Amino acid sequence: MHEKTLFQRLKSPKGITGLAILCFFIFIAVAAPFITSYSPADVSSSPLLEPGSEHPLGTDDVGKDIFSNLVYGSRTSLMVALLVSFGVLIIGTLAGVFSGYTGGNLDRVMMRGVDIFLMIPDLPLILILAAYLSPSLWNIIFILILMGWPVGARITRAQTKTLRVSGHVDFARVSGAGNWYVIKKHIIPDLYPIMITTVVMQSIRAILSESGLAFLGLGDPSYPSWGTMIKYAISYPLVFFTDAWMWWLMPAGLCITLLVLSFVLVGQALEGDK
Amino acid sequence: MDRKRSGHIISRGLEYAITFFLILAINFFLPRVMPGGPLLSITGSQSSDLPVVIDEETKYKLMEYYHLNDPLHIQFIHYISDALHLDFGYSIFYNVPVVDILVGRLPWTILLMGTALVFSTIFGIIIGLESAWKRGEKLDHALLVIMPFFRSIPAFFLGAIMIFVFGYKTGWFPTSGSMTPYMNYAGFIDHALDIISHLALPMLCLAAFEMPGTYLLVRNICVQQLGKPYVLMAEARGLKERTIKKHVLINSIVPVINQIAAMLGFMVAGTVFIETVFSYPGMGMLVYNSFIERDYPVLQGAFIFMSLVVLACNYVADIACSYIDGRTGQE
Repeated sequence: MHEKTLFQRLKSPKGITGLAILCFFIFIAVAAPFITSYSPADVSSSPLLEPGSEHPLGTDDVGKDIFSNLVYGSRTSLMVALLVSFGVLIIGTLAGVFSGYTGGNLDRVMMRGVDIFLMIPDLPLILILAAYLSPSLWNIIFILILMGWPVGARITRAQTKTLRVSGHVDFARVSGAGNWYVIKKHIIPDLYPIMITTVVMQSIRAILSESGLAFLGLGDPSYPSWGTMIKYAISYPLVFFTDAWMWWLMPAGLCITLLVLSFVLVGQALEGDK
Repeated sequence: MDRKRSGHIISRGLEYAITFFLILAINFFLPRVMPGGPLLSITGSQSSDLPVVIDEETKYKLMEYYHLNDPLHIQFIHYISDALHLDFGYSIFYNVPVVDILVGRLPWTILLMGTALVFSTIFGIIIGLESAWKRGEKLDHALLVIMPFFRSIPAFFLGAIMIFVFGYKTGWFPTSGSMTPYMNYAGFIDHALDIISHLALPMLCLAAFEMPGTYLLVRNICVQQLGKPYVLMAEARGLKERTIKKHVLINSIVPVINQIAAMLGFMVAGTVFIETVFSYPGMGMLVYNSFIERDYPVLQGAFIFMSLVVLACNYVADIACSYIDGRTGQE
């Protein structure tokens, strides 16, 4: 085939850079207990220490080790990204394939519904939901999946509609294949590229939303989060008047940026150069 | 043709009306299905700093006052008619009608979002078109790396950096609020300058948040247009670069406007973060504050208002596009 395979596309400079950053964060998340000796919730150190041999990035205003919060924060971000993107993938793909394959009025109503849903400003709605529910990471993951699956469904549905009228699917149906067989053998496998794009896009959304919600004070106190770190860093009145911003504010922000960037680069590499 | 257009405009309007109705319905049902019951959203939480203790009689009176003892469909009719009369109840925290708060905050958000939108759209179109024109060249490659990088920076982090650089280090701009408090202005110009200097940082931040999306959108649409035969024809006729770009731009403007309007809901999220970081007294900060105070009526009222603004902008974009592109509404 003249089309590049996914693997070949990933071997572009962008793809390799993105994967390298992503692997770096995955490594940190997995090896967290070996990288730092402090627990992220440990408040036994004295507050507002400058970086030194004991604390590579100093401590924050309640005496937590900033470096270990940074390291454990990668676990939270990656976990939210993984769960949200796969949740959206499963629900979105099921709804999209169903809607696109059935067609007709049902399809039209469903897609109208999705259009309406996409127009609603989602952050205020997330805040309303979060205000009624208790602040926990699982609630955030649930809300992000709830607000995200229509996007996945829409892309999948468009592709399913194209696939349904393509030659090999017609041929399979004429040969007597049932709906289930066609969907399983001919539609789902051809959706793999779109599924990977969905996972990448939803991971970006999940990481940015999780840190954003944590920044707004919606974070789960029992999971260290980069967003929470930024929230406390800039609400500390002296952060900009001393050098504390360098080891308190910047690392957390840069970690979010780098992790998101790694997904963006992988996504661009997968789309291929247009 | 004109009839077709007005038919199209009316049918789109109906769709937006249905959407708005659904948003109201979400707002109506959320407090009723969530833990805590509907009275929680009116009187506030039991577990907050100042717990609200209500005896049974008062509770019954309150339930009666808010029609909460009626069957659900009657409640819903009451709710819709209240909403249409702009009655969203009273704020728990400020103890004034929700509408008054919202109307006071709305102009600031419209100012912030409007200027940022104009800024990001103009620059996004210029850079996107240039990038598409020089497709595959160095500039294009560089932009395709820089823009996604900007997109990866969380809005609140970008805001914090801007406060540090332009507020604390250089002292060029004020970093919070929308005006200098208790200021005696010498005149209208003085007043305007004060507002503009307060607007500068949040506006730039929001524009930087919005622009990468606009850029990628314009670039993709223009790349498609540049591959069309009319561009080849124009080049063969020896038209100037500027003229060809103009043709491409006119042909791309309809999808660009539609997509930018569709991204407005996303921009609202950016506004919430940026207004919070810069303490800009708009709807975004109101949403944040009322979330922190668990001020449910204001939170829900703000959601309705913001949705209404987003829907209205989408409708205006639809109408504008139907005038720009004569084919709209024709099958």
